[in-house]
Amino acid sequence: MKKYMVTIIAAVLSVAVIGSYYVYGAMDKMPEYTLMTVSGDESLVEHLYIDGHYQARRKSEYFTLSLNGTEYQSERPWIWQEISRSRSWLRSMEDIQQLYRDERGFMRGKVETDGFYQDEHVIIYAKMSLSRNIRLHLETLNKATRDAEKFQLSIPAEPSQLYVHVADVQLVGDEVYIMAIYGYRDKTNEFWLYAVDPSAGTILRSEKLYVDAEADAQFRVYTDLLSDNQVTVPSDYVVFHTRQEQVGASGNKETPTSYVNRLFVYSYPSGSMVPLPEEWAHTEGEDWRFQLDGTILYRMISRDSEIVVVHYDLKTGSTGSIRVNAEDVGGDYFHSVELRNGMLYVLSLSSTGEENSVHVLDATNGEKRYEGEITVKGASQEPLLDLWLGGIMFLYD
Amino acid sequence: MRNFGKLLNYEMRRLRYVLAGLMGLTAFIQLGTFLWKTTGDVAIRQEQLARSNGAETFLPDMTFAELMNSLQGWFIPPVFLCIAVMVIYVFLIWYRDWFSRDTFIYRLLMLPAARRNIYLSKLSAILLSVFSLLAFQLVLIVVLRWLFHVIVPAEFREHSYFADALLTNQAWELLLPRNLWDFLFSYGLGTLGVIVVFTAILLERSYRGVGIFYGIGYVVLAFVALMWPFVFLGLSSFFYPSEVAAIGLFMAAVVAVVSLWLGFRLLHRKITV
Repeated sequence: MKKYMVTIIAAVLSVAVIGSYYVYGAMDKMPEYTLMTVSGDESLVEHLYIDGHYQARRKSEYFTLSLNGTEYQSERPWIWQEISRSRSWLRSMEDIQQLYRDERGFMRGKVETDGFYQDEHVIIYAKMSLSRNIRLHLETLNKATRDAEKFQLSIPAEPSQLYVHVADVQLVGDEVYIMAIYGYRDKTNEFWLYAVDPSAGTILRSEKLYVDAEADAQFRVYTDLLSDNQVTVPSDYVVFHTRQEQVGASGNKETPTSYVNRLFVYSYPSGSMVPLPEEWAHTEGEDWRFQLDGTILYRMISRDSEIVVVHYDLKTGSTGSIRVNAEDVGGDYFHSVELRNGMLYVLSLSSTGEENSVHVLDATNGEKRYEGEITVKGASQEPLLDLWLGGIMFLYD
Repeated sequence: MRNFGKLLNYEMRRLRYVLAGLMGLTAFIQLGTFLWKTTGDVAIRQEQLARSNGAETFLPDMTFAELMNSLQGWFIPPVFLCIAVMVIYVFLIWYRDWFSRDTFIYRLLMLPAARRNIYLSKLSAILLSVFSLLAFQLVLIVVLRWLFHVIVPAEFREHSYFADALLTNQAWELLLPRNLWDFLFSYGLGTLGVIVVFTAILLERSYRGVGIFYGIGYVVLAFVALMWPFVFLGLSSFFYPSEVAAIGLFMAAVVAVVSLWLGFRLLHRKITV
């Protein structure tokens, strides 16, 4: 036995000490904070998370908290952190996550989320790539028959073309409409609409879409599409957002002297491009955020203690607005604001840092639908002051 | 099993002075700098307290975690020295048997037992030594923490977490991850590295001159096999991220099994006395 002493000591020391370290580590739990419902419909915040840092330890710890409690990043194995980080932008997309769960085979390798369309019968995926020509890849899946079809089409490209991207896909009648963005080296980006016959695998029509804000020597124009939280849903409309910048008359042409943002609504069925009323245009100093939610377009401005949300129905043209003050919801200032599924999600904080609450309001009429408080879970007396809260986010994975 | 135990014990006995030396040096440097720094900081505070007639000191209270952070520059070199010695020993554990005065490998190979025991005992000895050094470092931190409480009077002391003290030292943070899964993952990968190098050494010993290229080639091949799922499949490709991770783990298992099989085979068939 004495002969084996070195090995025995080494083995016992290793197992006992390293084992104790991890047992002790497992018991050394970080405090658990949670979103506790005060009133309202809890299902509205089922996927709501608030991220932040716990700062009472020497190194601040990143966490996300929700109705279910707190999850600290350091408590997750590294490999899981990497897996969730690798497609992190998809985690907040409800319909895409649902597609990943329901149609794992069809969704394989498809990560360009603007290229999806689905209704109760069909899922369509379109993707464009640029080599000498533009290659349009289209895939369809019939949900009832499980028939999948795919084909590729070639479209001529200009020599100065830098990139191509599918911005939206819709099914109008039997035709698949593909909205494409083309970027160029020597001119501003262009939007092209392609009508494709999916059964024949041919392009029926194509047209370049114009918004009433063209570039010239004095103006630069940037155009993009407003995104909807639900990227796959059928919609008759898309909303173009243009930023028209007046460039310096002489000298520095890089810095704009002023700019105007405008919105244009394009209707797929009618093919019309209609500018939104003048009050939807805005200039420097008006930091509006736009959000499309089905046929309702929202514009929102959020200041420390006030939020204004204006909504516009693209179908009917009806409009309205709400104004929310921090004192109305019982906080000192708004820390984070998000618009989603017709609801205004607000994280309101007190200036002492001891009262943090989440409120969900109907974005069209301001009616309060949910109220929750961030509290310490269990009997722990950890102060809320040790939290540095980031913002509201939605995760659906 | 008995033969394996005997061989492992034999390897550990050969390593005992190296281990004792590394542990002694680590303890000497870490304890010495700890005592020097702690007593110095306490003395400054006591002097300030005396000057202000017991009113207050102008320095913040001492925490064990902060002290460990400030001593990183002294604490990390012995840890790195231990790592360097163990890396060198991965090669030495084989070559010393061939190049020692009485070419000990011939006696080992003549033993009336399966030759894989030689391989496994050497591998186990390396792992046991690494874990012993790690355990010794942990014990030393506990001793230092106890000493901190003994040396620093309560009025100059503030509570800090043990985990925080470990996280403040970059070497400890790396060697002692907080998550058990991360520990198993990183030391599993380290073990795989040792197995691959052992096989490369046996390739070199089996084929001598040209064996050097076989050995290097094998290490490169193993590295490529381990990395290709992440480099070529990527984390946003045809495969889902969890599938890429699973393929990566599967490849690690394949490399481990192939390396062990090849190592055993070389030891059994190719290396002759």
